[in-house]
Amino acid sequence: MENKTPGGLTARQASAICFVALLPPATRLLPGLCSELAGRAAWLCPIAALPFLLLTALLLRRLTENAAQDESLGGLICRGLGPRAGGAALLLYALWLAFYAGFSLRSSASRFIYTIYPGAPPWPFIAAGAVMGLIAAFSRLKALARASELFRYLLILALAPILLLGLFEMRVQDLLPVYASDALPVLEGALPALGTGAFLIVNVGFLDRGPGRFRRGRFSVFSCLLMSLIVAVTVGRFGAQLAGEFTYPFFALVRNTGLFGVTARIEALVTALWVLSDFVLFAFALGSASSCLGLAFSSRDASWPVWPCAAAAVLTAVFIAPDSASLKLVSELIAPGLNLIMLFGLVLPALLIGRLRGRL
Amino acid sequence: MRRILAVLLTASALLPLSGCTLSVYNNYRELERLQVIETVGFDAAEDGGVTLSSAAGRDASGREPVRAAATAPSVTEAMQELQGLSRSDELFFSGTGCILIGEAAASETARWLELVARSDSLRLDTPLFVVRSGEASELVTEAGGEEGDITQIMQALISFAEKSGPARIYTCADAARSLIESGAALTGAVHSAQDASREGGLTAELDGYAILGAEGRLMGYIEGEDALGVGLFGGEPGRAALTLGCGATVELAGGGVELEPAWDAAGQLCGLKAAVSVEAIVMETTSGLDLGTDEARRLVEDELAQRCGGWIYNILTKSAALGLDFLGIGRRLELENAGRWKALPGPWPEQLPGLEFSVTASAQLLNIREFTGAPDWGR
Repeated sequence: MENKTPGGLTARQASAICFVALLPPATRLLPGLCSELAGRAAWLCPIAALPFLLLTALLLRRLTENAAQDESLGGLICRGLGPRAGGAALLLYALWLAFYAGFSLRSSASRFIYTIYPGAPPWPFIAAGAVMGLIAAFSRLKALARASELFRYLLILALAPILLLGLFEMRVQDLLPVYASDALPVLEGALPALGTGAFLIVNVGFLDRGPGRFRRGRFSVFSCLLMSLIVAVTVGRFGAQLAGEFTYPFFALVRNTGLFGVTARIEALVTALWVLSDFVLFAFALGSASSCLGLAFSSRDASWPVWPCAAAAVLTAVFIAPDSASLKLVSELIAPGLNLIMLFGLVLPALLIGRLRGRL
Repeated sequence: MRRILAVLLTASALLPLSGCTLSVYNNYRELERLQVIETVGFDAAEDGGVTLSSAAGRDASGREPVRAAATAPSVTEAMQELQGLSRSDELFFSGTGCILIGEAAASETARWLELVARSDSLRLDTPLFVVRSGEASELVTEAGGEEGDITQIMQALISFAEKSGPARIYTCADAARSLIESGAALTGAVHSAQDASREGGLTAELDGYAILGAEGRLMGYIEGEDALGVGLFGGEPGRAALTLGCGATVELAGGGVELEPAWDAAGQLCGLKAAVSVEAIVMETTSGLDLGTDEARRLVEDELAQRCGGWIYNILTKSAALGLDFLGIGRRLELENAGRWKALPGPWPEQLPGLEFSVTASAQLLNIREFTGAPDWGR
């Protein structure tokens, strides 16, 4: 698993895709949800998720170490469970990933509407995102990986000053004290952080056989620290209760960040930059869904599964949330909950069963 | 090279995406047609309505800034009315750098804070001031006359306050956070005054802090010199100049307040001891005052300590009398005594009015040597 497969991803490319795809849920979901659940201890939620994320990465690495050349996670599941049970599991998982792709499209549109185009309908953003994602899904995986490597620099360029200025302007005392009684809320808040990291660490295996080095733990540590920093800076700036009141606390932070008299408002540019990570996340989910669907039907043609998955994603994006209250429910409860159920209730048990049956 | 080109191409796509260029679907605006609003005022109108006043900044041409007010049932409607008044120019509220609230409107400050928090143009980190005994629209539309404007005046006041005290300037975010967490908050206060440089002209002057209670209701003010105590309590006293009765004029150079709670046997908070310490430099003395002697130095330091201690005592007792923790006493005590705070038998706001305060104060002059051995001017 250490070397890249022919036409596959290197550890560096896998981490670039995962870093870029990490940003939408890390900025959209975590600051608000962790603040609501754990109050001023919210910044500890991603750190509390780290051991579980490391365990997940380790488990996955062990379970996939006997993968054949060019055998993806989907292939392993089919081999471990057999073509029928494995196909059924992959079909279900493809449906989930298509749903998630649609949800990511819709939440991306919602963020655009909230930050730059208030009152605009979501469909232009959904349509544009879907077209871009389709192009990426039909292209070679390497193209998405190279694009992610480029996007990574731009996103770091935007994220670093926001976090740096946020660190200067935050009140550290708003993150303290933390009581023993905060442990349970922190663990509750760790679940969405765990889901955010595990979604990428696991599902990158459906796109490609995936280099094992990627799952050694460096990405897990980095992603948890980054998520913790994003939450800490947001809570430190607004306080946990006020941060919990915002629709998108991190983007409220961006809206209130100016660059030392160079520019007073940067939210439009930052939100525009985030479209890059939305695009990668959507293409990532759509690509994984297509791969699962293709394997579920033992198809060698890689292109046809893209169409039904894309259609399901677009339909989800259009109908998932007629209003902002429904979107909040999906965003904070349904999508994170389903994500954890699918990862730890379907994919990992499927691989474990395959190992116990001696097929992996 | 190809990678750099790809990054540049990707970056260039961000301009149309963010609506910063003329594209199919955007919020592009011609810069020349924009009236950038820099100060906004909210006043209460009849039947729950609002009078929104706005003042644009001066542009490079030096023409008089656009100042207008409109009354409507809601802020959004008032904004649209103002837009109608401005005719061809588009009012651009995203550059607002100061928000004023009339005293009557300050009875529902939470309404304005919520509006700012939800607004796509106003920002939460904008400084917020209550206009004491007056209306915001009067200051926004009239202050400064033809040569100046309210924005210039407020910027000068903010800059002065940050340097010379009361150093703390509260923003909408500060007020919103404090109201949500403690049920009380402070904001700056100003009042309208005659402009000494122009006959009949109007200007604004700093007037301490406004105290906001539940739902942002205006509950009172911290007046006069006590306002300096707010900065001192937070460890930012500013460089206020104080002329003491002994003949020395000093400038504050630093200071802070340490809180020591007293707990009874039941774990209840029963008292609070505040230890005030200030540092100052002597700026001038009346002739003949020789600070070289210990006695004279102690005289100055004691008087200064007493004066600063008085500010702290006054704002602490005001907080207790109103039952409003606008200073964030509870948060400070919690940070320093987390275990005992967690075990408090009752809610903190109920314990605040019953607290007994004792204040001790000390002062230190940092530049005695320069004022020792005053010259004999031939007396």
